[in-house]
Amino acid sequence: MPAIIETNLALLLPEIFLLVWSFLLVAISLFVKSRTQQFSAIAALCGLLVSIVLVLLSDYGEIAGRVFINSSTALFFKLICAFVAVVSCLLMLTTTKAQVPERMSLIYPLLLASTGGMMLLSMAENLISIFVSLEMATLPLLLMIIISLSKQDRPVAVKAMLTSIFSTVLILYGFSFLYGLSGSADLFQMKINIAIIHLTQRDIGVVILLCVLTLIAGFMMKMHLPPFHGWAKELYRKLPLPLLAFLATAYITVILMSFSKVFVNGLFAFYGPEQQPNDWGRLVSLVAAGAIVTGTIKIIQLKEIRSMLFYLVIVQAGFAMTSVVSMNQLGPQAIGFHLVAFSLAMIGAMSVLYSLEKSRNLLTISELSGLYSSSRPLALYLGLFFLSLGGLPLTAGFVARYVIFEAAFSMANTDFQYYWMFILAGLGVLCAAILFFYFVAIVFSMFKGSSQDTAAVRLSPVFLTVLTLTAAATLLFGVFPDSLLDFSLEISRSFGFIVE
Amino acid sequence: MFYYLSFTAALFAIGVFGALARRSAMGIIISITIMLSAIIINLISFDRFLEHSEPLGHVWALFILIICSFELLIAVAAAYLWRSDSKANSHENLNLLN
Repeated sequence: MPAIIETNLALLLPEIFLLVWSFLLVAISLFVKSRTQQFSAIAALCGLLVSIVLVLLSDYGEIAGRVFINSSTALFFKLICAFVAVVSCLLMLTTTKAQVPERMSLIYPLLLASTGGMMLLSMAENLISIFVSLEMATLPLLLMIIISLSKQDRPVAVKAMLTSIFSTVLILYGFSFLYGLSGSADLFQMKINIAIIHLTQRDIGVVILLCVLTLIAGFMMKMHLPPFHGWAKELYRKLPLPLLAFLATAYITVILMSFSKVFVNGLFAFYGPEQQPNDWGRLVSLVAAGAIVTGTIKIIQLKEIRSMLFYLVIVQAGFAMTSVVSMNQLGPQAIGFHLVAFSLAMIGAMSVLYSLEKSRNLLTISELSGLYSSSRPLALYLGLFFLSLGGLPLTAGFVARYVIFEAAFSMANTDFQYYWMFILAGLGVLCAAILFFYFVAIVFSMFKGSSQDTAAVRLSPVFLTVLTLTAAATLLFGVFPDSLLDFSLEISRSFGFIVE
Repeated sequence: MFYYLSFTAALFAIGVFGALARRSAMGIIISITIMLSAIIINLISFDRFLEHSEPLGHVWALFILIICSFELLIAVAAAYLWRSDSKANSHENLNLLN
């Protein structure tokens, strides 16, 4: 008689609530005119806040066997997604009517559904649940892209849609081999089974190589890492900034998290120089190095703000991947800290840039010059977020970089065979230094340069509160990083590393 | 088992080639469908030939069929909207790598 699996649906309450709330909002938006979309925005915001409370109140435990696990790691990523969704929702709420596309009221339920999917993905510990929740997060996001882009930009939406499906299929192909080799969809069981098969059967090399290559290519396309970044360039130029903020922070965060889950847990046995040519560590390092170097070079060359943001996301993903390949207890901890620091700084910077884009139609980096003389609060906030993204000491960005490179160098020090980690970490440090000076130069011009547009930008109290909270968190985690570092150490524990 | 895996690998490779070489949305969608078929055959053949303690391949294949069908349906709808908006099918020049 098969064992009865405890479903424990109460642990899924925040996600179920978000999905039901989004369906209700869809039903409402079918009957209300677009002018009442403010109601949809406020209802969505309330839904998100309720789900945050439910997340904080929910217990830890396994759901339906080990299909989903609600742990401190899941809580960590759920809160990031929910926070980013709240800020995106607030930003959309401030959009003036002239900038609102048709059927904008549908955006809010889709935002909720996507957030629900991301929260599920944070808990997924099984290949099937990872696939299903990944689709639940992606599909509403793609629909949002289709709805929010104008008719002229339809090719961009179609391309994003097709690339997303293509990357999902690549990942699925890799997943199918992982399932076939291990005989289980559970990541923890897979870690054990693949290690046993690896020891007993030596002729699985081609299958593993195929699996690793398709998985890396699929995840690279999802995170628009070079050389698969072409499709997203136009998307970053055309998409409204609130949606872009959601895509560039929350979505990339959960994709990076599932990437690390699959590789660190599922393919644990195939890491290390002795596994050549199936060693995924070197391949991922190559991808990370490519992302960091290409992103840094492009950031320096480009003049447009949105293009800079696009390559900044690529660089940050490269840094996160550096900590994925550092297979020690510091690696997952670094991923957690880095993703929080990056999300805070990115969402803050995008909020400020959105208000500048709205009021001044600001598009290039040179137009930021002299911002302090015309709009002091915005210049101060943007300066802080840029400096955190650049890695200034006493900001969360600096601690994130420090932890990443500490993890990478400590891995490189374990054995001479990991010399490539030295190269990766060295390239990372070099590019981080270049980015630091680049952002310092931008901030310097913001404070010292002269502005052509002297009209001050007015900020709503809600908007100012969000910026203040984000900036305070950026500084707090920079000055007192211990609490967040301890919390992100739970990620290392959940990945099976022995934490001293 | 070897023949099944070789067959699916060939099918998947044809799909990847088609998706990257085609420039029309419908061509890319059809290529992705071929790739999906390869994955589903892969999963079912793993269940058929390997004695797994939890034969989940069939269930997973069903999930993939349902979810990816929805996704492809939306992609077809988006492509149709684009075509009907622009009324210029010949100008369709999609490249997933660029």
